[in-house]
Amino acid sequence: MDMDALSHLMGEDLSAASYADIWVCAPDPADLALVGEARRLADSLGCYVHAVLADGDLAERAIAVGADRVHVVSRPGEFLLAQHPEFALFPVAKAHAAARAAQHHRAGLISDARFLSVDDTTRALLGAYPVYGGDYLVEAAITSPAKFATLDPRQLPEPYADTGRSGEVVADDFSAPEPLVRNAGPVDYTPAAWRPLQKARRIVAVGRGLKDAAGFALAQQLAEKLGAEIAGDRSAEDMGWIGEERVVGLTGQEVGPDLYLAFGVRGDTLHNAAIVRAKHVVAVHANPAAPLLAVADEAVAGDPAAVLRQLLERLG
Amino acid sequence: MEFTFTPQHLALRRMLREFCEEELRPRAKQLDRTGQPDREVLRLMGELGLFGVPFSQKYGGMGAGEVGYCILMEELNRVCPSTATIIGAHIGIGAMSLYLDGAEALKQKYLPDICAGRKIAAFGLTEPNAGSDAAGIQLRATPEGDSYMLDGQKMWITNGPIADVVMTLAVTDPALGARGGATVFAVEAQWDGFSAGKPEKKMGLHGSPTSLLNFDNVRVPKENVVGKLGLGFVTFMKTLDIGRVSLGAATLGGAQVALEAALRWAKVRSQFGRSIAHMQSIQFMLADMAADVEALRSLVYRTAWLVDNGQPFIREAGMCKLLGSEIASRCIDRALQIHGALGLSRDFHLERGWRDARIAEIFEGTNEVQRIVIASELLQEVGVRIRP
Amino acid sequence: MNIVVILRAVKDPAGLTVNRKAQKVFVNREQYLFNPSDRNALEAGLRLGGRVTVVALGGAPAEQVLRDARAMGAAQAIRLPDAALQRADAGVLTAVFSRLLDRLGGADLVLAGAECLDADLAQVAPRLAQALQRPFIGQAHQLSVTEGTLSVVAAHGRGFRRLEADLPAVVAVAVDSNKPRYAPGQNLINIFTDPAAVETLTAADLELGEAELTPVVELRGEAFPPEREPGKRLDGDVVGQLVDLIRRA
Repeated sequence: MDMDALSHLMGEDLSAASYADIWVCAPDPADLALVGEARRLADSLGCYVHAVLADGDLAERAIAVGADRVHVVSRPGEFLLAQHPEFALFPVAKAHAAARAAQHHRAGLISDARFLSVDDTTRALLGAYPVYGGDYLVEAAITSPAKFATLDPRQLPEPYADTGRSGEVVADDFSAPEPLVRNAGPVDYTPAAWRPLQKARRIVAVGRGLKDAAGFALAQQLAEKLGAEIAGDRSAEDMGWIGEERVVGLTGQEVGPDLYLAFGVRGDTLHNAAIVRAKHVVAVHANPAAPLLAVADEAVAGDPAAVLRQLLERLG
Repeated sequence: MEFTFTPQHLALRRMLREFCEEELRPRAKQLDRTGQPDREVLRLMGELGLFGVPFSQKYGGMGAGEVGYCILMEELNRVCPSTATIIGAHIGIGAMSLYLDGAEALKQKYLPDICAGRKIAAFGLTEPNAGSDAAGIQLRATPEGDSYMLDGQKMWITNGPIADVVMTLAVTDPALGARGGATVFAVEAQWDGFSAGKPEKKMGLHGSPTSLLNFDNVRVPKENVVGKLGLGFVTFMKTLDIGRVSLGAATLGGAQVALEAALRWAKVRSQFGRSIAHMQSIQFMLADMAADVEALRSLVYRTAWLVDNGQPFIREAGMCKLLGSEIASRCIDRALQIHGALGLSRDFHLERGWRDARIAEIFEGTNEVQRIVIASELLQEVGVRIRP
Repeated sequence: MNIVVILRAVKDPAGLTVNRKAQKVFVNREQYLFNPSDRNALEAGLRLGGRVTVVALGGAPAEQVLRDARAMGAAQAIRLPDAALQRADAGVLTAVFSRLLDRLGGADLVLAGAECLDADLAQVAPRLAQALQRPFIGQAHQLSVTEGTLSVVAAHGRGFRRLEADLPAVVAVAVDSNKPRYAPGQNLINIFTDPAAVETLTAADLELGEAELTPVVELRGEAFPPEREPGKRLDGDVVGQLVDLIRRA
């Protein structure tokens, strides 16, 4: 179906000059949080929310969380190239599709946007994006006719689902052009790791508080599951669980991961001074007076091995 | 007056800082424990041109001058004094004597390999009976046809066990002795009669191999005379003079890194309810250390600038070595004190720095000799000639 | 093979202090380094062989980064110093690089870093691919080219997959996907003393129009996350909260 016919069917002017509505690219279930966000913005703008899904089974929920129109297509990113969204929200996983669509529509784009809002008078899209790994954010305003953003669904609140809401599932006849990039399938690749602790974004650290090899094995499982590096304090080396090259401390290595999960690590000065660059520290230790618990962003006074067991279960 | 580093020297320092932190720092502890140099790292250093930093690109050197060489020594010594000492003996005194006074053909013969790190150089001056009294050397070079036969011993030679070519001072005219009767020879370690003793077991610099050298009638072709026959002592003294500047830079690196460690420890260590940075005793130590380091930094780089600009520098060079060695020892010792028991731990870098620093007051001319040299120059200016 | 690598100089985070309480960023030491993944992009380009041209926008920091790149082995470096480009957003930069590539006679491969430390500019590479109507591959870890076909091992979720495309193409290289080489000292000395090591081109040279140079994204200031409050004790459904935390981090 061509654009003029679609225009007529929808009773709206979709000519190049008019960009309208908020469109959400939501290929995954988690992306429905973006529909909730779009709903929030749309209510003050008085425009429709279109959810573009890859999975028709999500249509009902998409409508419940705020979509007025649901489009089910095989390639949501490509579909948006053919629409005229005034606002478009993409999940960060679709950053490339978002950028290509933004370029096509001459739209400004804010990546990994926080605090989205629309200016009442100018209809500029306002948001903030993180820099230096999130140490601070830069506030930006998009003034182009089309305004896009990518959002991290994990940072958004669970959207309110109102099963009483009504919306329309649109039958789009859309065939995406042949992709220019061919997917040759998954590959078993392990990046070379010189000094793995230095480059690690996530670290699971262990200490004596884990008591025994069984406890350590649990920590290793968690590290595997999270794609994290294993490390530990001096006591972990003494216990024979880790080698010298995995010790975190002033006599070992200083680390700066995004996430540092410490189980059974008491946290003396030498250790704590070596994790100052870590963005987020979580510590679990049985002794509520363990120094690391006072230093961590989040602390749990409890048996680290027990917590690990439950955590592994819940993470599935 | 322009007190800034050139863009190329800043670029060199950036590269060296990264290289030392990434490649040397993780290996320094192991090197100190085992004394086994890492061939891979030395190869990479060769590729990056670190074995010929001050020498002209005409000979395969980096062409970074004395300032560039001081930057190298400062950066290396921050992280691994053992490696810095291998390079220091190789470039700063070993190859340097050839570079200063060698005939063009001889320079072309050895410098390209030296600059690429394919051949390691050493400086053969000290003997069992000739340390500060360098003029008391006894190693004999007897002419025989178109060669010289070298016989005798050298001792405490840095890079001895790994050297490929040793610039060796030998007595060619016993009647004149060292002053006027000594000559420098470029001796290849592979030649018959040359052998190195076992590496010495030292207090520090475990990764810098040092040994006795035996010359049992080693035949040295006369083309391998470095500089002029009989004037070898002058060549070697000139070499030691310039070597002192970069040695000052090395001690600066050690002092600087001790100051940084002390600052960090003062911040993170809490006793009596607050960080020890709030205690005046610590503050005063830190301030004294910082003032010393700042003064040394200015002295070293200004002296390097004098060298690169063809200005007289001998007195300043002596001061670099004298002040540098003492400031570094003091700084590292204060840093160790600030760290308390941790300073003594062999898992922490400070005690290694402390052991590695001690030599600077002794080698390349003891600080006593430096004081004599400086005093001699000063007094000469007011018309007093003192006997060495 | 002609490869163009887009570089950016960013302020070294080691010289910055972000004070959340004072809501200010203090610059203790103003020094610059390569945007980290750009360096990986340059390394990837150099490993492929061929002729590597590096480009960057800005003043002295860009000059420094371009010279470092030349010392690492790039054959040509181009800097665009225009003050007018200071406030360029991703759309403007895409127009600039697009025009620059035309002027260079095209490139078989355009490489850039997959992340940008100090600005919202990781989007430039996919935008450029769209503008040039070329294939785009992101989060590249390993690249190889055989007879005009590009093969890339790219990160995908927690794992990796192989993606292929015909050249010419645009690729964003993942941070830490390779170990960038050190610049040999001799190159550093020679490049940094050579006035001609980096060419400059202006927006006027590229004949960019007013519209193309007008940004649509305006920067309005900084915002700061709340101050870290260490020692927050979790209770109740501790494991549930931990799961949530891990998922969001």
